[in-house]
Amino acid sequence: MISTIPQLFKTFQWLVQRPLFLVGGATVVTISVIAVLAPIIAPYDPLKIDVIKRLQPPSLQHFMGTDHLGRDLFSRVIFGARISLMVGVTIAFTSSALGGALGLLAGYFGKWLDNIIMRICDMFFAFPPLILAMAIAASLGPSLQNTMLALVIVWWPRYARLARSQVLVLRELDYVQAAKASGAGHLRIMLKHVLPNAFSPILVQVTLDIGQAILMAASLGFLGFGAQPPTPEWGVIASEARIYMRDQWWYPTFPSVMILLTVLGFNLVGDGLRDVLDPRQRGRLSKS
Amino acid sequence: MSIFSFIVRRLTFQLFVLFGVLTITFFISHIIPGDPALLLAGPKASPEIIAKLRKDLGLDQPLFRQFVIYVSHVARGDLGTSVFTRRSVAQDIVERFPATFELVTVAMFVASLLGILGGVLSAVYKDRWVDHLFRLLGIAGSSMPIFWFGLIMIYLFYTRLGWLPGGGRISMYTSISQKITGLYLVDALLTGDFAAFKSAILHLILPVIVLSFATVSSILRLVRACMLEVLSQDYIRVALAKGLHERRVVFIHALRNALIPALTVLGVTYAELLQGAVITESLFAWPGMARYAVSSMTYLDYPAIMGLTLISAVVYTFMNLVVDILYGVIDPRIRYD
Amino acid sequence: MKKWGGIVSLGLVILLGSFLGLARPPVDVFVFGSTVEAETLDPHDTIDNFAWRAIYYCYDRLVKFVGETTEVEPALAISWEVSENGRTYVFHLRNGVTFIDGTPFDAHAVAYSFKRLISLKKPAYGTIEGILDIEGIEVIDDFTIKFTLNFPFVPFLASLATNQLSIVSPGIQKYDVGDYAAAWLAEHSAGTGPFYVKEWRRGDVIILARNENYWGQKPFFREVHIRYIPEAAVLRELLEKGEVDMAEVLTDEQLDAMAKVPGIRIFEAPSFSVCRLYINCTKPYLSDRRVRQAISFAIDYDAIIYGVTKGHAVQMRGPIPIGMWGHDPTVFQYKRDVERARQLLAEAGYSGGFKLTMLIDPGIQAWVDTAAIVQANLAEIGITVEIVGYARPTMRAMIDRGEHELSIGYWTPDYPDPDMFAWYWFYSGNHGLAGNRSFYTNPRMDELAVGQRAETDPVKRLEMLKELQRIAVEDAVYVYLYQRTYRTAMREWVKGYVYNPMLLYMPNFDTMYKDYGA
Repeated sequence: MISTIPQLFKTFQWLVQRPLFLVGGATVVTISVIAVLAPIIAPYDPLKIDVIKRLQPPSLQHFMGTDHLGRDLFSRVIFGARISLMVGVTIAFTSSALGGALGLLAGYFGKWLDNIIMRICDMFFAFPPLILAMAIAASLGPSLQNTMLALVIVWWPRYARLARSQVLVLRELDYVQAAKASGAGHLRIMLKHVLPNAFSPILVQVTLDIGQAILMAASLGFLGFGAQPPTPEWGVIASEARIYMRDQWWYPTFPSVMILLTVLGFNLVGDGLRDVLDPRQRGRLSKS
Repeated sequence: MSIFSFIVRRLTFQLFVLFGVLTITFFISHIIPGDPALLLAGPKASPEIIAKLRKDLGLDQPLFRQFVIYVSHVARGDLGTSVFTRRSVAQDIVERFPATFELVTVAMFVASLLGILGGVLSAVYKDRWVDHLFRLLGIAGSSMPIFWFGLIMIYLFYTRLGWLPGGGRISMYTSISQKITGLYLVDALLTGDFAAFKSAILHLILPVIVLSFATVSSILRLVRACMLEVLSQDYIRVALAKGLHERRVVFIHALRNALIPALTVLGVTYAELLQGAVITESLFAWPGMARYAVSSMTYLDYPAIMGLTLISAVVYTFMNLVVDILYGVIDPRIRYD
Repeated sequence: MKKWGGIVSLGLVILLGSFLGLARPPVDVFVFGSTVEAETLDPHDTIDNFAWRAIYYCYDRLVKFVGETTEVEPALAISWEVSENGRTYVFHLRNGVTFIDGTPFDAHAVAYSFKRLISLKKPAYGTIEGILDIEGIEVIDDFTIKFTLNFPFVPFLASLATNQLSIVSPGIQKYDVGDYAAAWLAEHSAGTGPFYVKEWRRGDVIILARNENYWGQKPFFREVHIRYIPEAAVLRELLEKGEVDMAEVLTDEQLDAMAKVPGIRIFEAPSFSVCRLYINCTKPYLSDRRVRQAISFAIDYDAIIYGVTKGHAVQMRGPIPIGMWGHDPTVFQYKRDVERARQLLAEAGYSGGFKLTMLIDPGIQAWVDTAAIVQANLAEIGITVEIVGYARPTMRAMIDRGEHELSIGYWTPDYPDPDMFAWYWFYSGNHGLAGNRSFYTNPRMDELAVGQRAETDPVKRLEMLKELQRIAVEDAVYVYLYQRTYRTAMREWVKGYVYNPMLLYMPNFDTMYKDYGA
């Protein structure tokens, strides 16, 4: 548990010595910057159609070439970063907040509340997430919002379970018992003592999940259940591009590689965080 | 606790979970915007058929009643009639299930094999280039959009090199003479049809590679962690000190102990594979359940969507049950829940 | 270790070597690749050309199209008489024909088949709905049957060659479970045609086998395999490698690229298949015809034709396709004129612009692209278009209920008569999926639309059609986008292909053949 500044600093030092983490971190930061600055850096309007210029290879005017309607692929991919990041972060944060809160309550209060919440989680765990998300998105109508809603519905249980198991451990610790004995209210205990320490594994999961959420949203977009054309979501672009793979290989490749790099970045960062925050590794931390 | 009561406990638990699955599936089918009777009957149904459907499913009755009707239908094995194919959904699924099962199970074997191999080598050669390479490949696998990987594989091995077929389960000029299990590999062997067997294997190679690539990473990571844990333990060092040949120690003792906790990942892997199958089957024209899921969801074939969601949950739950029981059998400590 | 490595690699090489080598289909088996799967094989059910492809040659009809023309000649009927008033048809039927299940073909079978079509009330019924009822079917003797129509429907004879009016064996009644044997017929065939359905592995392949007892000319092919390959890119590869003999539906892009590949022939010809935008006349803003005209002037037809069909289409001129009898080549044709469009909008009082939704099926790439272009075009005159995507069945249900504002669709005539456009598109009784998808109502149009289909004097009929086309364009009921060039791809060793504009997507399996020596 990182609860002191010197420890935080040491953690940071340790992290930046690991090349994979750095690479991941740099990727995430770069893509985030691109996403935020999209309207400024994009050379063209991602929706601007110019059929005469369709399917042109990468050039100085169009860094990634043009798509089948003559839209600038580079601009579309940049705006796609915006969408994907927004989607990934929203899904990860919402499901972790929702699931984490429920798991916290379940673990802390135990008994029947715990039972109910965990049984509901088990029911959701029985579904392969993509299929459940597809069914929900198909039922509500395919759109980006519905896809995000579907993925949150599908994902909150894992955070509930994670939070709960953390809380179960922490609940028994001395200082929590002490706080209880001295009459502190439940809410205060939960917020001040339990939550900050349950936080780390959740943080790791959230980081990894941003990547997974982006991947899933893109897969759903590829299958036609997520964002709808002409929205420049990466999965949608890849789906429209797939038949051009043979003669205009760059067209499906660019958005796909972007997905790969982004998810890779988040995975590396998450892995690094996990290694740091894993109690077993902390021993190594203190040695160095 | 005896194995028997352990199994009974787990089974009861999973049955309860299945009930919850039914509830969720039922609930999903009722968030459909629009008139459910119209949507369930399909756009080409006549008013009489729609009215009949409304009565059959009790759509004008209170929600609870509808749920009871739904559960009783499912208990009978009636999952409704597909709007698109006009046949019973159960029949549609049963027809397509073997194809998906074959693909996913073979991918499971391949992923496990590669994952275990990679995990062990990573652990043994920790922090050397082998370790880093495998870990990087593993992470790349879980970050790679499967649809792109599949497109690339098809482009490379079929379009450019022509080494492997671009789709389907078997060549157009061979067929399985007798469908015994529906699994082409098994049936071909049972009927002694070498040509069919060969063709089925060829057609499996690419989809299996594409499908398993993403999953190898989770297995690899877990095996590596477990191996490291085991390798650092005292009794291993003792065995080494005793002079047993190093390789034997690693592979026999450590592996066995490392794999036990690694077993837990099998269940989750199956879910990953089922999901991956959705895209893989679409890309490779694989006539399985997952592709049927995509087409029925695209066409809003609600009875089929609900049936498939239900079945995928059931299959997954069943796999988890099997893994749980296996784990309980192998590691007695788990039984004391 | 080195020893093991060597042996394993050798083994792999041998294994690999024995596996390689591609195979092309035997010369008497025709392999057809399709990116669209059939939904059912019951001819009295579906109106989907892609299902017809498998069905058409398993059955015969009373008449058939002559080669590549839209004329009809005897098939199961050897001759016929039409009454003076055009309402009564008497058909004399062919002797000595049997259905694939052994049932003899006669007038009772024809009566059964027609009655089944009418009773099933599935979409296929639309072809004779309101034209022929069960009471109008009369068996005169074993090989003579009389149809009395509700009114003198001019294109009746031509409509008899359509898939919907295939003659189905009464022998299927033994599979009837209260559904007119629909469940059984959805997966089997019961016709007199040159082929029959041997097997249907759903999601995989439909296998047709030659009917060895066919009454007419036996086909060259012993079997026809219609394979379902959902990925167009993969299907293209299969065709280029010669593993399939013919492939549909591929994109214009792919077809253009394949035209340069040796061994592949791309066939193209104008068709009567058209693409139009629906403008729901019951919705606000769109009920004003100036708004509809403004939209018609704002669209960049050339960009759509170039960008979406890669130039393989011709802009429509009025609602009746070019090349069909009744088409008026002098009718006005909208061209992109942004100024005029803005002017019209201002006249209607909407110079501030407004919002519209456009409903599409995002699974059809051409529609996605067209919508994107329409969205851009209309933005220039101040109309903001939101593209709304729903899967086809939902989209069709919404259109049927008139919930759309703008939408899009293809339309292919089943029989070669302007009635397929005039009556279906403009008659107020056809609001919705039936054909009038702009929900347009105009009493004068109704008079014309209904009148022309019963007008037996061609000169008078032509006059009516001319006026109908004029109003259709002036009122901008639809945006008449383009008329598609039909294109299909096949290997050069495929011979004998005959294109018939009435048989789109249904290649003549019965008279084609292969010659590998070529």
